[in-house]
Amino acid sequence: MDEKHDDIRGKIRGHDYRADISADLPFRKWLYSWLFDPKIEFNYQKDVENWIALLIVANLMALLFEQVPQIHDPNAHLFHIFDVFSVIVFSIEYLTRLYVAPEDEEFNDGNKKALPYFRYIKSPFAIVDFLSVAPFYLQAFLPIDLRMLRFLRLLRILKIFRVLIPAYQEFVATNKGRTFRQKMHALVFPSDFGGSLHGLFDTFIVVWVIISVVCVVLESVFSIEYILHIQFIIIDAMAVGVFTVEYCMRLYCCVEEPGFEHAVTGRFKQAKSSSSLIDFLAILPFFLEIFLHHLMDLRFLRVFRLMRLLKLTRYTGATSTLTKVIGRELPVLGASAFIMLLLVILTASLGYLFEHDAQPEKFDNIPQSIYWAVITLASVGYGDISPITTGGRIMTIFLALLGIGIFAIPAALLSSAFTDQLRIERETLTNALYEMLSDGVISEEEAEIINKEAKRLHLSEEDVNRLIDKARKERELKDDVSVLPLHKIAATSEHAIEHYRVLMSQIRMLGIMTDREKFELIAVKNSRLTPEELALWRQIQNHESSPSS
Amino acid sequence: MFLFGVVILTGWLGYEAYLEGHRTETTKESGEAWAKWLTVAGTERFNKDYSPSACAPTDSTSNTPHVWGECLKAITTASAELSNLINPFTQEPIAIVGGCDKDEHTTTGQMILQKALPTPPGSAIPFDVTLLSDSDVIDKKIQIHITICDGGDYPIKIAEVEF
Repeated sequence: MDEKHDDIRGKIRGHDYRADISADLPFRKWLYSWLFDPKIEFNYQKDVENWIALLIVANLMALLFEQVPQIHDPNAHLFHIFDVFSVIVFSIEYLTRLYVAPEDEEFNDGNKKALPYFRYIKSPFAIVDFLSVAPFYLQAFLPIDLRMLRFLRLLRILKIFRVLIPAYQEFVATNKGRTFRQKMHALVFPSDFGGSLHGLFDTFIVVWVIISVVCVVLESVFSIEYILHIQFIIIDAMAVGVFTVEYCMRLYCCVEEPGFEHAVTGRFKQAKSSSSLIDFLAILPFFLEIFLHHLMDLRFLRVFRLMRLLKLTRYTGATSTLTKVIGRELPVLGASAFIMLLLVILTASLGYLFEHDAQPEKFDNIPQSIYWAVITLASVGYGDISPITTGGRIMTIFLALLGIGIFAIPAALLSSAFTDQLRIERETLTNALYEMLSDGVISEEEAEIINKEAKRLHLSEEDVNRLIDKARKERELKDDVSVLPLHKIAATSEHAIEHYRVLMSQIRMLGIMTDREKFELIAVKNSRLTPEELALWRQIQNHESSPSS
Repeated sequence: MFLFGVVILTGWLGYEAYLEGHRTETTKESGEAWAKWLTVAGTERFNKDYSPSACAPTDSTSNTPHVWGECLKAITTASAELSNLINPFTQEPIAIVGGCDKDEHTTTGQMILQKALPTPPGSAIPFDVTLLSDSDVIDKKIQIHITICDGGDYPIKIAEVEF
């Protein structure tokens, strides 16, 4: 039983789980297993690749900013430090990969003639890695033109192919024989066919959203916008290009999604979904400004480019939780809003009543008093408008105290609703575990589902194991039918048979433990058992006939 | 084909946006050239025999004071550096205008020159900024604000120089 539980636990990993790699391994093997082995799950291989990819993107950004003399010239030393740091990191990566090459099956097939180090050095990825750092070392010995050096540093971008090519190969293999639209669907929408390339596509969009939003924010800083005006335009045009193509791709292949199959209505349904509307609003300001700027001033629309940040909601479960919570609590929130509205109108009216004569310029009419009412009830209290009459002040004391309670209601509602939602989601996971444990084991597919859900709910390994224990106990309790009422046992034939067997076993046990002769004597003498009952007893106890009969 | 068309369309629109931005950059560079020239002139025009003389302070022998209008004429005709500056939106020489006209879009790529006069001590604002008019006397140093009108006729402040 314990072995079974250990087996179940072995498959479940919380979001904080790390691979179990023995420290007794030879150092080179141990290092390869931790840092570069793609076959070992939960090691640092993906983290290393992600950090390297991030450094490559940072290098690309540095290269772009170097082209702007106003940025590069005063910060030349910082750019140099960053360049040196990047080269050091890339060099360490290159040397480490070279060192562990014999552990990689790709370079070590047991053939001693083909040296794994040499095979690694002449592999395409290693050549790219080498080219990304070589110009830096080369300039120490050879005078290289600065522009040429910068061009050579662009080669660092090629390092991204270390991540991209395996993902692409996996994608091609998974989608073999599928149509172009199905492949596009696998790339854009979450599905079983997307693989790592779908993850990279999502990351690509997220990176563009972040870059685009950072640019919009920086554009508002005059000194930065003045210098980087043209760069901001280029980045915005590229971002709009990426988002427009993504939007069209989603519309094109959404018909592969369940529920969106119809060519027209399916696409229309997709277009009016909240995520698609956000996608549309993210690109709309650019096109409106381009096409309509001759007719009207649409520069104010630029601020709506910040809506692109909402595109990130597609990639986080937090927004769906928030939507669920608000949707569930909408009637209560509506009631709370109604009370607040009532209170605001009442306060504004009383403020007007008490203060109009004393301060006609500040409490000129009720709509003007609403501003004061909201500021007072929400406990903000700017102080630009305040009551000066005794009646007004007394009323303000009561209303301010009332406002604290009334205005706190929505916050308290949302807070408790969030806690409830979390509990519901955990219970849902427990129920799923309960169903999965019906056969006593958790298959690889089930473990994968649990791991995904644990990651989404940010559950640690310990949390998941606790839920599994809870589900297992509930399952065991259900399996023990004897604790159920008889009518419930009778409702299920399997349970009825099991219960019958338990009863028979108990009767046999009774026969072994009690004095059978005395039992039968009393039963016959006092007519405590009917003849049928006595016959059955004897039959169960393997007695063809009693001594008295 | 549709996706290819989308890529082409967004690429073309992006290129158009880039060209528009590039034209604004060219206008900014023109403004910076003006700022550079005015800064240099501001340090040299009080020297003896400064050329163009219309931009130098009024000498004691002259009856009429030197004014900005004459200096401007001299700059845009005599100095090749400034006379060659072209408004990239109209492909005509850059004109000095009174302000950016967002409604009619008649001032795209043009330049605004304003003078900043210090206000008396205790004033709410340190400078009173008004348009530099042709009749303004240039015998003393003047604080000049240079602004250009971008592609959407929005003002972009280029520099504040002492002339």
